[in-house]
Amino acid sequence: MSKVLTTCPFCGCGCGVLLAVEGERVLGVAPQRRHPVSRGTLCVKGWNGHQIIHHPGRLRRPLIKKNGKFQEASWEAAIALVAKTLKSFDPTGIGVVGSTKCTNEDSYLLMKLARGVLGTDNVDTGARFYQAPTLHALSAQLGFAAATASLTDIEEADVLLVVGANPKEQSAKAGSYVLWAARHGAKVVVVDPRETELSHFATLHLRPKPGSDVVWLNALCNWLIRSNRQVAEARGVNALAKALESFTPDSAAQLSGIPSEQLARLGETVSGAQRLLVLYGNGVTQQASGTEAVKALVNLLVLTGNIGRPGAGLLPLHPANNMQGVLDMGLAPGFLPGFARLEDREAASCLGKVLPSALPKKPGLTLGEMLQAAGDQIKAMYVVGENLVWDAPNSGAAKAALERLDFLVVQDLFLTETAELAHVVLPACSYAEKEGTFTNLERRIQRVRAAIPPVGEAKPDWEIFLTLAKKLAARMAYRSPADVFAEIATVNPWYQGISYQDLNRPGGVQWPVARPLPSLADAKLLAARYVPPSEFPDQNYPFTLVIGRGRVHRVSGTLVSRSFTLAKEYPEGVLEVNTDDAKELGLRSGWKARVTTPRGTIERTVQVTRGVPPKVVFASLHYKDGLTNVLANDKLEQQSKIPEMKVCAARVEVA
Amino acid sequence: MKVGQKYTIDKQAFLAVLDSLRKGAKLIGPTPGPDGDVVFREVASVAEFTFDYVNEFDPVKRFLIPHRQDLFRFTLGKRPTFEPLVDSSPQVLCGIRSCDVKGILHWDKFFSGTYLDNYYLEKRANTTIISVACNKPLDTCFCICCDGGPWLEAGFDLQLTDFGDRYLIHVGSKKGIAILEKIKKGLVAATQEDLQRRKELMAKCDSQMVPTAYVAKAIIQITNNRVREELWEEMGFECFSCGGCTHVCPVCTCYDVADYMESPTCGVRLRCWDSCQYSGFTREASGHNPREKTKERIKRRFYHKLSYAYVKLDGHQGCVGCGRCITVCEAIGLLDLPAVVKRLRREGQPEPEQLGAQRHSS
Amino acid sequence: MENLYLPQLAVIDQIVDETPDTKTFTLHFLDERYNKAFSYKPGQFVEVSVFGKGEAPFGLCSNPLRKGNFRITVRATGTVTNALHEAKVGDVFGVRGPLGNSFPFEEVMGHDILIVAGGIGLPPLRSLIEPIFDKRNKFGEFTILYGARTPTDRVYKDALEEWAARDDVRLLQTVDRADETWTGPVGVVTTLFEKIKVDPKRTFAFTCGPPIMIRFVIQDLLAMGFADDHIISTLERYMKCGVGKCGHCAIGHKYICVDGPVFSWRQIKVLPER
Repeated sequence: MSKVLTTCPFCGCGCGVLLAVEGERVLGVAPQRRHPVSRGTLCVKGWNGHQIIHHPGRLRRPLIKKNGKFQEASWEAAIALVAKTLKSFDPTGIGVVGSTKCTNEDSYLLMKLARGVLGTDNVDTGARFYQAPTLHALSAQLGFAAATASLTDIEEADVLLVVGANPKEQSAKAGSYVLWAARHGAKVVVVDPRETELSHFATLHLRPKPGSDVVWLNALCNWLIRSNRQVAEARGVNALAKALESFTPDSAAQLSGIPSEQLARLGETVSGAQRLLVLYGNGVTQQASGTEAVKALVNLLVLTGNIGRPGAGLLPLHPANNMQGVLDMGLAPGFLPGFARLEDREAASCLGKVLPSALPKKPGLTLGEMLQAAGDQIKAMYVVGENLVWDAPNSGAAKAALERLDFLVVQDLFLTETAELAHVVLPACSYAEKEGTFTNLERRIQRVRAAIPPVGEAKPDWEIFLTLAKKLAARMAYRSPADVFAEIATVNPWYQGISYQDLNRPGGVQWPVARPLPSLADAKLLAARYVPPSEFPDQNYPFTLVIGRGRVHRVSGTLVSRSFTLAKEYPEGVLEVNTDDAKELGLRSGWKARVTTPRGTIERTVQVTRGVPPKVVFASLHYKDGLTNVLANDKLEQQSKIPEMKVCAARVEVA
Repeated sequence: MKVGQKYTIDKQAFLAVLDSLRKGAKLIGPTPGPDGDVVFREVASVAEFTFDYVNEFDPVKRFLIPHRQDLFRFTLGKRPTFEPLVDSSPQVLCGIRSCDVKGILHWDKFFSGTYLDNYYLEKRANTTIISVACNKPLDTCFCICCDGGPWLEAGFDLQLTDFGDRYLIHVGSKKGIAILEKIKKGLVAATQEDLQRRKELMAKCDSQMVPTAYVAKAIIQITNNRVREELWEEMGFECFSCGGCTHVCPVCTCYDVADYMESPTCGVRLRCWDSCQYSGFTREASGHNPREKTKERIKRRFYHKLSYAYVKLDGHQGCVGCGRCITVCEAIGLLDLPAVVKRLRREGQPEPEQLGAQRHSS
Repeated sequence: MENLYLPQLAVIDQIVDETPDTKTFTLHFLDERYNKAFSYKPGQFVEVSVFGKGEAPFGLCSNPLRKGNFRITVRATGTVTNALHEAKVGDVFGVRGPLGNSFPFEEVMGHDILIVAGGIGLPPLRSLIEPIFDKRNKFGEFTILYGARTPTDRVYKDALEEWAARDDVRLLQTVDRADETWTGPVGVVTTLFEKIKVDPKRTFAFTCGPPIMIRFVIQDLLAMGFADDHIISTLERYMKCGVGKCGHCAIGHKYICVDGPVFSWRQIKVLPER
């Protein structure tokens, strides 16, 4: 038996794991004691996710659909078909979707393939549905779109603000540090409409109305400025104060439901903090004011001087291992590697030097827009490692959109619900079968190592991209992911000065090394606007439905449901209903309820609880028992085009 | 030569004998791992070993109870056929610590009894244990509280004590004798001086142990159900249900079983580590779960580790003091065994004032 | 060393639909010698493998005194049970067993017997009821109480009719919800207690069914004056290996699969969790 050191792919924390390997099989995992962040711990996903590697459903050969049925095909035939067909479309009609489970090298090559070979900027990833506001807000305010703090900073902070996230269940390493901090005297403020395990340890638990985060955040910033508690280094305070005038404690109380005295208490707590650390999740981002809310969080940190100091700053809790990496690689329309905009001439010419052909001129469509334009502007899609039928909001519409395409290629580990719709399916390698790097939620670039040869005829994604590029007669030659990484370090300024060799040390390297992160003085205060949710409860749909992930989800359940231990751990989603509402509806725990939104209906087992506020119901993401995302609102937020997946209006009945 | 006797030998001479064992068996022991931490693995030569190490974090469990173990391969058909996949290839586990040996002794008993688990027992019968008494405890070690080390008096085939240039060898079994009989010269009976030196090393190691787990009171508390429900509840809130404590535990053995198809007609039945800390552990097909709440699962874990019922069944508490649960726990410092023992011990203790009041009234 | 986990192949001889979601399968082992030697006691169970889907435990419901084949009654609730429900006569499955302890049979001879069954709890008790009929003169008064959710949810409708017609047993049935075919009592099974007369001193009570039902039955039996060891029940847990190794079915330090599934109330009441 040998043990291969690698990085856990089941959330954004990036814990160090050892894969126990016997022959050509991964038998299990062990945590890495010397990892600087995970320090010998793993969560339930980390301990059991390895079961997916040899899952019976792994794709072993390429598939080509003929007369509605898949037939196994050779790689030559499949790649030739993909190349030939993709070439036949106008570049603006092709959509390319990368994956947050792919390595940086995979993602970078896909970005090159899309922009430099296929000639389209319609290139996005599943990160759009979770962290697009982080990309848009942070790149505008800080000049880079990533955490300003590290996970270990949680240990140093004296006030922790956890907004719209449930790290104890979903980003366990972050949750672990937060619990430790709470038990060692740090003040933990949890802002979440629901009670979570973490709110049990909170010194203050604020329960805003779903979708109203900008309101209380703006009011808080306003309160800080009015009571003159901002730090001297913060620039542009006056303009911000003016923009926030209308956000008084009273108006905030009305719109967000947070009483003004609680807001004042929060104000006292954050302004009294020596080191304030903010952790936020999809609760903040997946709403009509997603980007605005992230802006407001940055404003709060700037006003209180908590940027660029140890033990303070911002940590976006990514639900997937390489969500940061795909953003770093410029796998987002209009963004180049290193968060520069497509219009940025210097950055564009730098990337242009390594592209086989000229960069597209105009920013392309985001993932949500591609789905909306499917069958219309978008004729063909190349989807890598994302199960859009599960991940996309309004799943019914998403599925119909994919069915409208003239040509769909899906590259994945399994024949997912999305892959079933494809014309060509390409079998990809799991994290245990390929080399490369992942970047975790605190900008830590870490090695992924091949522990076993590919399962069946599966190939590492980067190899597939190179084969396809070659077939498309483009010059893209690399011998290994190390070669690709070397090029990334020349194109992405934040990766400059980092060599693949450096990444061999435990915990890899946190970017940047060749230049400092922008300081407090560089940070911009930008007034955040309140955009109300596009759906409010009404007579037909009297409830606010909040959708979130369950304890074992990694993004949606595509991967984890294929680990038998994890599938058993969380066999079905639940619907949390407030005790009073349940009484009124005649519902009891364990009964089935029917939840309906303008987009669809599902049935769920009810859990009656005081943990959700009255008139709010919470549905966890799906498993085999029906897609929760059928209900989710696919209306796109204006700036980052993230769908309003978190909050919508719903009707609840006894099933 | 008899079991229980002690000898000394030059280190290099012993390592040469160890190296010769590679002919008929996998030689497994501590090597410098990919990140500098120690990793137990099969070696091609004893030169790959490092004997200057703190114990591996990942227990030797994997070499006897793999994380995933295939039980048999089956072929579907009118009349399905199967082929058992029992691995009984010989292996020599070198350099494992006493706590892990103690864990193996627990399994030896557990996997025997009325029903013999041949997958474990056949592997075990072909396993030789050459342990190295611990001279380098970690700051998480507490084996002295659990009779799990740093030295053992039995259970190993050979137990080595590092004397710098020489090893003191404690003979533990016939298997051990067979190995020593290969040594042509240099093996000398241990002198009084040697034994004295061993004693001093033991005392020195003992004195380095930091955490404590005074389990006696905790056993009484759990056995008599004297722990407040609120304490279990609090622990339930803290627990991440990661299952790490059970996975790294040298005593825990629970497993789940699954069938994996490898082709449309051929598949394997496998077993894989499971954890009583998972809610799926007891959830029935109907959805009913007798241990739905985290607190019930934590209670279960410590009932198994510390109740008198289990102490009587197994002959000792379900802990060897390796301290791995301290490192692996996501609820840092709150739910590892020494921490819980401490919390349980404090349960039901009258406050000092109350104590005074009681005395006064009596 | 014998391999604990390798099943024997058994073939389905007969399938009977009991209720919309329950079927009874009659099987025998393909290996003739093994089949001949196969014997079990009332209350024991087997692990049935559907290769590729997994393995699940089922109480034997046939008469242990009749050799040649054995029966299990299966309700479709999970992967294995659903797969079994798709099976046809002649299909071959893996079977390990018999496993677990058994209902005291010889030990309770000479006593009155009271059986209280709920829904799918009747099958394991049938493996006790039939041998009692076979040796009817060795037992005193014999009473069977059976409750089900609805009339169609009752298993073994033919057998129930046959028992009802016998004069050496008193069978009372009740349903939670009646339909137009039902003329009998309506209510939970414990409501039948007032319709019978038992002498707790001379009687052994055997009960099996949903956990909540067992709880109320035991409560009533105790109130009627039954001694702790005259109340015999079975415990149920998620189970994998059936041989006390996988750890799933442990309650306290007892393993349902080897120390049970049959326990007296005296044993159950001291367990740290129920």
